[in-house]
Amino acid sequence: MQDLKGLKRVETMLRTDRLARMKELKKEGRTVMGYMCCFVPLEMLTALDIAPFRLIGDCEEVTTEADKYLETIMCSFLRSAFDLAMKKTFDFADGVIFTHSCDSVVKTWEYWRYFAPNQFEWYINVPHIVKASSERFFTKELLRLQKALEAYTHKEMTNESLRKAIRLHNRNRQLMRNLNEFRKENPPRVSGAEMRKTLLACMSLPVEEANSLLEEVIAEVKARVPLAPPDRHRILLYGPEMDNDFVDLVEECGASVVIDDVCIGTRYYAKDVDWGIEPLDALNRRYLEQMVCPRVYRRPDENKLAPGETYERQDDLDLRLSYLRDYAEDWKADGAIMYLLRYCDSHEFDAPDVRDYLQEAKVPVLFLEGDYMVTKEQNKTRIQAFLEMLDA
Amino acid sequence: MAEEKKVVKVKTTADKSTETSKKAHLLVRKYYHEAAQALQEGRPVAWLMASTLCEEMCRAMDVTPIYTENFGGTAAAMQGGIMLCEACEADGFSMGICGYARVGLGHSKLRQELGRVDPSWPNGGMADPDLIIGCSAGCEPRYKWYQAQRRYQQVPFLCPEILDTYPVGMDPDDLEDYYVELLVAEMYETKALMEKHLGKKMDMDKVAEYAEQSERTRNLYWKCDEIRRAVPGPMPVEDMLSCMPFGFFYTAFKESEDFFQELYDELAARVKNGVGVIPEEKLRILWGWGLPPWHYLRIFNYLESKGAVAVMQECYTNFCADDCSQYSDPFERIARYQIRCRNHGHKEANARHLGVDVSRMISYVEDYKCDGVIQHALVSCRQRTIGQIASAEIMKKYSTIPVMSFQSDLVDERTASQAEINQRLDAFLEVAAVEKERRQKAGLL
Amino acid sequence: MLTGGIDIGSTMTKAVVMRDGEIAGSEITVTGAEHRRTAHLVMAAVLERVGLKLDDLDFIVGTGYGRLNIPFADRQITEITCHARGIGSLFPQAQTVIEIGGQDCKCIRVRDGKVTDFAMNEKCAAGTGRFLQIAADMMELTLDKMNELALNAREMVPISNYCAIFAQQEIISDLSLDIPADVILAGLFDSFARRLLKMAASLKVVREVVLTGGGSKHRALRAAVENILGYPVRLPAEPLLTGAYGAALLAAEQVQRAGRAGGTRKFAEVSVG
Repeated sequence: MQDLKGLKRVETMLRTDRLARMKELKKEGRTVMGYMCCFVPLEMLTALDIAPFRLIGDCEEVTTEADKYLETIMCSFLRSAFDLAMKKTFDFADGVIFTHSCDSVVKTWEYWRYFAPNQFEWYINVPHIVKASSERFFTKELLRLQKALEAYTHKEMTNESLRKAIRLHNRNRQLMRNLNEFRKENPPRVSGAEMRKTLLACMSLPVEEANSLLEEVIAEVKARVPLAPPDRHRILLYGPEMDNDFVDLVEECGASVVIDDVCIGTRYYAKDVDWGIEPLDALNRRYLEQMVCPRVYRRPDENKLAPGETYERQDDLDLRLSYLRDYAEDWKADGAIMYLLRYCDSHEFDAPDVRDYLQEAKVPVLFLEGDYMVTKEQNKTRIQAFLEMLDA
Repeated sequence: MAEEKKVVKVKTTADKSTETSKKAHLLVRKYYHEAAQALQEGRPVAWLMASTLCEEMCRAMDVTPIYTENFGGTAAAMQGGIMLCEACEADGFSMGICGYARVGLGHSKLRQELGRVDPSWPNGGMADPDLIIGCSAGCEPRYKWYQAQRRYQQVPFLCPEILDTYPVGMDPDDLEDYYVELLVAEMYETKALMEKHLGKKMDMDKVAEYAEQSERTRNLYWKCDEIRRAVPGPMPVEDMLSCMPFGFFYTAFKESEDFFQELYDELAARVKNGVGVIPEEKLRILWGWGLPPWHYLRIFNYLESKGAVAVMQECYTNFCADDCSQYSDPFERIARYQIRCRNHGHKEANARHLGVDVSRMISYVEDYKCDGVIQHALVSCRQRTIGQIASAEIMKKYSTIPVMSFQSDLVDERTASQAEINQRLDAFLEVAAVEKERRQKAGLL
Repeated sequence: MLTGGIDIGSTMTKAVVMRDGEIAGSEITVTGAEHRRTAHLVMAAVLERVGLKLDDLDFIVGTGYGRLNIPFADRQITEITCHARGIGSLFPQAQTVIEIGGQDCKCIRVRDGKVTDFAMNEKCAAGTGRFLQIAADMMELTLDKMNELALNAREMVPISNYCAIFAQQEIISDLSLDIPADVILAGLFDSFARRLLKMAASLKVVREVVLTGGGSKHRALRAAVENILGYPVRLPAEPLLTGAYGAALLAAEQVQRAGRAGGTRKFAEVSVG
């Protein structure tokens, strides 16, 4: 399969076994670990020569095993991932790392480790609030992770190895941003579906190999003529863990998804790890303060306020959401589609604010709530009606 | 247009067994009225979440607390929850988010639209706050709800980072100190912000006094649960749900301690005289995790009508009888007490390779001699719902008693049918009775 | 200019043929299992009535849940856009359209017949016309009798459930408590109306409000909606046809945009947008 290059390799990887390369590496003696969500500092794994791969679901695989253990009134993405774990999809790995990303992940972790145990199991209790005492706590959590990984691999994580890993992952994110730039063109030279698939392939390879793959994809995209006609609506997609084919559905309906704010998307690659400060501090910042996810709570500085005063509502919204306005502007989106996974509480709590904020910025919004396994017909009517509304 | 039709209502609240618990709602109402009065007299009111660790600080600062989660349950029990939920949902909030949050957000939205709190709302509604204090403990709604609250209400919002629950499988000895360090730092920040916003210093001696008061209340609350191991059970779950606010929210009030003392004395007398909830207690039920269906508390009376008594619950429990008086900093004392209480049984759970909730249920079944476990899957609560099916699976390894799960919600009666729930309870109680008979015949009881 | 609109809904299929801005003929039939066959039959029936052949039409727009199964349609447009267009033509002042279909309900905000926002309910029978049919069957009443009883009731018990199965159980349980049928039915329509308006609430319901779709024919439902809103709503003469009518109007716009008419549907390939 490694003979294949660029987007062909991406397609083949996802169509056959996404984790084939990981299994190969495992056979060659490399330590391989699965991780859940965007909050795991992958740099620390890479620094110890561990190959990390992202734990995701499979939107084409019917969830059967998970039904025996997990409720339906929870995140359907996690149910799908858990289902795969119960079907031994991740058994080959040396370990899995979870984080306190949300209530659903915390609870799923409890049963994942019980029913689908791995050799190495770790959980990072990521704080929720951007403030100094939370950062101090998070540093302790990162140090504990370091110790646990070092003990497992019998290796030492030096400052030098960590810096090297940071450089590799920053390069990785830079390449993803470069690819994303092609979506600024009209028509975009790379589709939302291609972008999603490329990211998923990269999250299933060690970072050096992911970087080579990205370079191939970029070269390929650069050399080709745009695929879509120029008059398509340009959509900003907002949502949680969207490794499913929702993007593809929007594009099948005749629009181009040109920018996104989803976990398998900009949230993964928008921000680098700061090169100028101590590596652990830099990771701390990158994985708490700079993380874009509604479960991270940030607000204007309380301490600057006069007694009895609170910050302006607009300042609060700008601090939390102005990047969305920038995305819409820079990528010239003429509409936004919010697709929330039902029971994803942190996103659901933010939804009215996000909707209003985008509409305030003159970006019409289609708000959809659904499952990880997208019901095609029902959503198609809504998406098409929305595109017809943008036509008019 | 047709004339207005009169709405017919059916009773959904529970009839209580113990005399003390029958008085609980009066004390809750008194706390609400105190808040309304404080507002009128210009004294500060704060809206709080559970686990913010602010109860003692509020008392010391003469701030009247309103626990907004408690209001959610109260509103549902008084059949006023849906009206508030719908106001919230009309603004685009999903029906899936925390029912308490929807009640609270709906309350504030209507408050903003009307320009006042309507006295016809449950308990007269919540008085306007001078401060709102959320936190990150336990579940996401504790901070996301108050963040969303800013759509309707612009008051200072304090949000301490309270991480007070150890991750499953981690050794508590490695964790206590730095968890406590975080909590103490957060409490100092909350103190500074409260002082700034309220314009006066916090008297730390008073905080220390209230910390002691809280411990006394909570320890008594725990003692009341402990004595419920007796056969027949002296007090059913519905009674404890009425008393819970004093051991869970309003802990720094002397009245709360007195309340539990009275309750304890009543329970002790009942146990001594062998008085149970119903004349013949055929089955003892553990109310497993899942918060109660506040919109249908009569479910417990329904069980009793079938000879089954819910003798203990896994939610709203307090464990810590640890003496934390050796910690001279009152904040540290509060933090240590909280951490030890929240993580009670963690080591035992680790030994079983389980999470603390399931592990506790396994112990309760044994300690409270239960014949069945009923779990309530809540459509709007991830934290107390995910894992119920898995727990039932795990519990099979420890006991032969049946475990059931039914789905509805803490607030939202639109999610379930009482008739359907009752049908399922009937079938479950039959299974539990057969299993109990089997164990009796086999000499296991 | 001759155009056609055909609307395949989950329960009923509707067709409209328009000549120079006026409805020349229309037809309504049960959808059944074979969409393509029904589409042909219903269109053939209208054409026969007005004495035309399929090739005489300049442009045909297909809409509704089965819109992809109309082989002779030149373009598919969603029912949301079509209803808005149809209502916009019938009631130029309309700002809010609530369509109560057999399988789903929609709320559409319109300006000049154009959609500015919309919401659709979940695919669940309790919020659709079908549920009223189920309730009528359960209580062994005709739909007409059911409406009459509810309209004349003095009291009601709300049906709180959002699931058709649970709501059914709730009705059974109410009946077993000897609550009179009219009181239950009044509650049923009131709850249905509240649910419709709840779906619409996030879009803000603004007057004029027009009800359409098969479900809007229930007088008690309309009364309940008006009671909650506190003002009267409007209703088209034939609520089943507004989607097909809008489709035929949109077909005419397509022809106008292409600049000519003249039969045999030469404009099938005209670009749209």
